[in-house]
Amino acid sequence: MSSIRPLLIALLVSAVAAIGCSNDPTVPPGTPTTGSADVSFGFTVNGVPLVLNMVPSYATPAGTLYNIKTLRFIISNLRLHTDDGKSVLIKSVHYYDLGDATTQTIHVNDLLHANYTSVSFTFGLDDAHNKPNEYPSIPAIMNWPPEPGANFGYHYMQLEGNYETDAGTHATAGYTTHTGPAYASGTSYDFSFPVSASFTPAHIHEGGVGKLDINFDLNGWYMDHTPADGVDTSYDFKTLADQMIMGNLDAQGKLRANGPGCFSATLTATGGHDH
Amino acid sequence: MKLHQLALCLAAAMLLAACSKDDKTVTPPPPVGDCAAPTPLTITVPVGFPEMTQPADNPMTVEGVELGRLLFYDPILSGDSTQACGTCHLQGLGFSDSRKFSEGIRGKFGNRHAPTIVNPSYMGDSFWDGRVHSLEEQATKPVPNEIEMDLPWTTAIERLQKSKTYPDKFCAAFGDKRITMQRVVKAIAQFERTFLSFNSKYDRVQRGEDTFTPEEAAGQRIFNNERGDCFHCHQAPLFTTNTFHNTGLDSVVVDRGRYDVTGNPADMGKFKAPSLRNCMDRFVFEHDSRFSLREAVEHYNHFYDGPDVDPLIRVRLTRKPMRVGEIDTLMTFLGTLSDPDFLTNPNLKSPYQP
Repeated sequence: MSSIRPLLIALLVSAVAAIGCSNDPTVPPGTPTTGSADVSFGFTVNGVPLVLNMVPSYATPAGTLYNIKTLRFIISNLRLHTDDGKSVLIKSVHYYDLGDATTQTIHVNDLLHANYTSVSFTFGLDDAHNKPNEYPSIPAIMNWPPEPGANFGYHYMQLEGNYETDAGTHATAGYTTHTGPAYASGTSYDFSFPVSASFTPAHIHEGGVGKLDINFDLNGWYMDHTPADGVDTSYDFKTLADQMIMGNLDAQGKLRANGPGCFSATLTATGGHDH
Repeated sequence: MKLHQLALCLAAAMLLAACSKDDKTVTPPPPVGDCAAPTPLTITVPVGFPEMTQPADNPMTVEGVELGRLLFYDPILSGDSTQACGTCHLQGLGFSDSRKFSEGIRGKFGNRHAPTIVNPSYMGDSFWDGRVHSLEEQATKPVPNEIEMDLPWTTAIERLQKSKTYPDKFCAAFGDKRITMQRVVKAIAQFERTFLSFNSKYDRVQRGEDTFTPEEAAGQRIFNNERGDCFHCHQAPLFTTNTFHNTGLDSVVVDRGRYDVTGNPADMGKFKAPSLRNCMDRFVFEHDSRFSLREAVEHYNHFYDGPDVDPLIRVRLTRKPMRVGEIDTLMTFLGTLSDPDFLTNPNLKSPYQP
């Protein structure tokens, strides 16, 4: 026994070392084995996969042809929801840039094994979180300029390209669909908005892997998705003579109204098992 | 060794290994060498600026900065001992050059302007085309460049090793007297990270220590709204976003810029947006120095249009040009970005001058 006692003590100390010094203190002891998920983003225009930098050939509802050269955006409070009313936070704030591959996927571990039915997020940041320099991972080009008496943090989206100003000559000019905490006449409006997209339920088992694809149909920003309500929110570059929309509350309001109709999502689950 | 002794050793090793991982409180061991550990240098960033980060493998120290300053201004790093970093990056000009193209070794000239170096910890990728990704990497380039300093690194290291002063300076900065290219560029980068411009009138206004004149305030509004639309590429407080743009400088691209780094056709003719801090104290603008500051502002009224030009520029095709009075007002605001404390900071001047 005398030679076994130190061995037991050693094993006990080893166990304390392994558990007590875990890298992830947020996972409480006893948490069941969980799955993981990869989140990716896809982009279409009127249902067709996006092609960047082409000759303007996408069409707004008014028929104005345009192309897309740049897309950057911020989403926050990205959550997956289960069929029994629970939700799992995937990421608090995520910055995406079509020109930067490092921003284009999210991997999450410790996902509850459950039956998932929908995804939700805030497009942009709510006022409480949209503060200057709040998120070091968001580059300066997303900063929203300070106004007298107001200093907000970030653009929510920068969607840029060229549009055809003259169908006869095919002359073009640039457009900059920039959304954010628009501020005008001393009043600020929070133009972030909630998004929820349901999908065919998928069960992520213990040890399984989920693949969440969130798709943005970019022409949706310019489409009135609820024509029956009598409020025309369609948006066209040609009606914005100088393309200055960052302080244009009407333009921001239309984009905010149209935005939720841009998104769809799918979740597929593979591998793993439940006990 | 008996079984239980082996087990105890194993347990102790596991405990140490498990608890030291990611433990920020662990004090690094002192350097193994001839000199004491260098003195850590802490930089306090004013409110409103992003957090200033340093590479984990090159933390700033008092001795490292001092060594970097010596190296930055020492022509020992050029083939004929005439050129130093500070030859083309002049403090009074925001560490840029007054000349269109800087004159390098033996009267040779490059084809791009020596860019300003200001608040470089926030600079992102360096050079006009962003081809290097750190200050340390940037500092490896000019020494062997045949147009700039034209000295092989091996020769540069030999010279420094033979010097009466440098071995001791490297010992103080790094703990021993070894001199390597990596240590040379680390020291230069540490010195450059002290190029901090935080005290212009603009900064003082932000801190509530000063106020803009009505003209300056009006200029700031032009700068920060889509009328002037300066902010998208020159965001406060750094007055750059470190991003690359084709601003319609030429009807046919002469210098392909960023494209030569990425090979992406969308990057044709793009160059990095430089910081506008101290812009009134500089003489030439754009990568090829073609403009004065006023000409650079006026350029956005009549740029060369083309499909590769940035939408942020082409959006101006539907706007009325900025009027002369608006440009005057904007220029007044730009004057508030001058920081005499930075331009004359004695800690940044050449240590070889009285």
